[in-house]
Amino acid sequence: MLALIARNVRTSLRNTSIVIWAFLFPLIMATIFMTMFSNFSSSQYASDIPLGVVADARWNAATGLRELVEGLAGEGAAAHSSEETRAVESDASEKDSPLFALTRYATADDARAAVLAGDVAAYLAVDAAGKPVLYVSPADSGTTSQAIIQLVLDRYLQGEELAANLAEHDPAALASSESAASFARNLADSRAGTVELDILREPPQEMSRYYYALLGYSCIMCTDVAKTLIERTRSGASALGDRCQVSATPPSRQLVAAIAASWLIVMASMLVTIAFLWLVAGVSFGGRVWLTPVACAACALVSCAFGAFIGSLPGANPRVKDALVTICTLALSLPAGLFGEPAVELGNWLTRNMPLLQLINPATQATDAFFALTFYDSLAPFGQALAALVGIAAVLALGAALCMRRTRHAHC
Amino acid sequence: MPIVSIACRLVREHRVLFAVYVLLFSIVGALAAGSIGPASAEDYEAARPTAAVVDRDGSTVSRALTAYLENTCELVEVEDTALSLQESAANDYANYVLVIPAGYGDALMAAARTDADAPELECIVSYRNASGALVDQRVRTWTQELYALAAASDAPASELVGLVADAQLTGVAVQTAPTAETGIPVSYLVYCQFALYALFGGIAAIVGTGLFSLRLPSIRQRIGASCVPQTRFDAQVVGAIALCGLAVWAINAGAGLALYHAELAPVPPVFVLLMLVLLLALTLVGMAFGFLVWQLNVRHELIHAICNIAAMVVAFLGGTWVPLDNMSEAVTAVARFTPGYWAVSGMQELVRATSVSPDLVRTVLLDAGIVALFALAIATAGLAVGRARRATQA
Repeated sequence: MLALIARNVRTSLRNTSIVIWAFLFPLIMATIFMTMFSNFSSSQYASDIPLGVVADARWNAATGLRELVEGLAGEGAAAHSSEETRAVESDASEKDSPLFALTRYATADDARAAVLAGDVAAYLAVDAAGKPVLYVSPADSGTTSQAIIQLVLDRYLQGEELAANLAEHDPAALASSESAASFARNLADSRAGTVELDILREPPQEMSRYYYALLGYSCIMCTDVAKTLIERTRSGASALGDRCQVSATPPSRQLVAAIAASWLIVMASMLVTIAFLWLVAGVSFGGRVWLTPVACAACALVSCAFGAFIGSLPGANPRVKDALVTICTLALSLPAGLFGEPAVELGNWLTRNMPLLQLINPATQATDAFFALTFYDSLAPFGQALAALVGIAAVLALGAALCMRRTRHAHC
Repeated sequence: MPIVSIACRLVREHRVLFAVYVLLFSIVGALAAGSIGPASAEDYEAARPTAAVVDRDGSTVSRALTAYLENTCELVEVEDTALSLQESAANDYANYVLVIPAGYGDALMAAARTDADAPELECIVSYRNASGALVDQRVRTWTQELYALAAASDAPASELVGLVADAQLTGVAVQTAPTAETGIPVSYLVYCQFALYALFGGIAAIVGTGLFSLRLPSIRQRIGASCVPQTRFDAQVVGAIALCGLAVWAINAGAGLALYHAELAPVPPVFVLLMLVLLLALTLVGMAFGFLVWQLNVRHELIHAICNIAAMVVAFLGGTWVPLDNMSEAVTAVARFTPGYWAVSGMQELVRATSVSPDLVRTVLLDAGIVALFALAIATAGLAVGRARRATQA
């Protein structure tokens, strides 16, 4: 048995396709990710939102509004003169840059051209009644940046409304000039705030998700290893398979050896990728890198079972099986979030609305196993992902066993 | 034309690759476009990020704050357990999770009336974009307004939260700048961006794999012994590659138009036409790359690896999967030397387009032209490789 396994491992490692897909491809992709995402700037905190203003006579006359906006753009003395400015800036204490990057336009037409060209997120004009009006591009309407600009202006306008409502509801509240000034100061201040919780083992990064998705992708892609080895031992799947089947070694022993060899190869492939991510790309796995071999073992198991299932499909020619591997790799990796932000959104949507679909997706479960290991305090989600992987492997192995059971051929 | 027929038959025999690269990626593109929601409406609607509230207080203030978030965000359920909060934070299930501590409402009112700082609300802010920061600003604004009212008036909290709610009806007027025409919808843009993989890597893989047999020594010897001159043979192979590329382009474009015909209805046909031109230019690059891979005579198993890795790199550097705006200047500078960057740049021009102008047409055609130049350069490299190999063999 050991000799068979060793032979299978040796011949597999001489197969260029297996070496490329199982060992080189994940490393190449990880290197590409690492290079591309170095110095990736987070968009978590809003700053330098490009805002245009129509700097006409009305704008100059709207002193309060102008000071607020110029203050938020960090311009000159105005940046420190307004209480409201300080309040909003302190809200976004994480950022060093001002909230707005202000561009002044002489006319509304110039500002309109700029917003339509995408130079600014929105532009602000003051109407004849002295009220601010925000203009956005129809091609880029409803963005977060625009909502933040809107919120700042809403807060400015709601002050007057609140004062009027309070005066009507409780006339004594703003009866004196001191109380009115105190109310205005409180409105512009930042005495009631929020504090951000730090509840994860490791601060999440937008780009780190792709490394975990890559591991899920690799797990499915490695099905090619088991598929190839199974094809080599199955009668009717290849010429070599026909010869192997009539050899003195029982077919069941050959199949077990093929699956064991493929498990070893996939395990080695996953471990090499993990080592690269840990040592070179700096992925810490939440300080639990010692548990990653367990995840790799489960991933290798599901990969082998999947490969054995595809390799043993009766009646399918090698080209169809190759295509199946590619289709499954791409289709299953999509909800795992490998293909950019839309894929991440799709994966999250599926998790919330169709969790069963994610549960039976080995790429998602493989991704989740490493993800859970990194971010969650409890090891329960990690254990659940491993259990799901083992369960999927068991079902696929059963399917493979059914396909590989004793077959009577017409020529026998 | 026998070589064209043979080449076409060889490519046709690999029709399963069409299913993998063309149909599958069309579906993937459609799913990805569907995940970003419908096209933006004509009228402005403020962003509605996802938010979750964990209310441990249950007071009038906390209920009013929850109601406010319900009006301005899409509320999602998050359980009040450490694991649920961690899952939400790590996976970004909600852009913002607000945890209202027990006793918060009373403490806020008391702090406002004693001129002390209010207790802080706890929150988890999305790490992926500024949506969470937006909700945080909204929460801070709301609580500060309540704080100011409570400091000024002795009225009960139930009345003050009503005043805050009334004030939310006041806000800046937001208008959409009028335009002559409607640009390409974002959902169709996402679909077309995903098509980049199929049109570049897909075509190259189909061509490289499909025509692999024509490089086998036994077949080369038979063709060499025939009366077909080498230049004619090459021209016919190029013809077969062109047919294959056009077929992929037609399938992908047809699927896109069928899926998004309703959203494209108000868009001027010129914009759609220009989008198809950009996709055609990308198709040329895919064809050229396939030709180069074929000329390189690489091993069969290497073809898919080369095409997929190249397609992934081009897709990432084109900003199709992750916006290039967030990447470093060095990456952006490198991206300019890839066809995906220029194709996506042209596509984005069409999304921002507000009227059919000569400038716009010129800009998009220029982008398409640059993409076509990449195709020309790659095809030239393919020809040079072929010539060098023939010289070596001679």
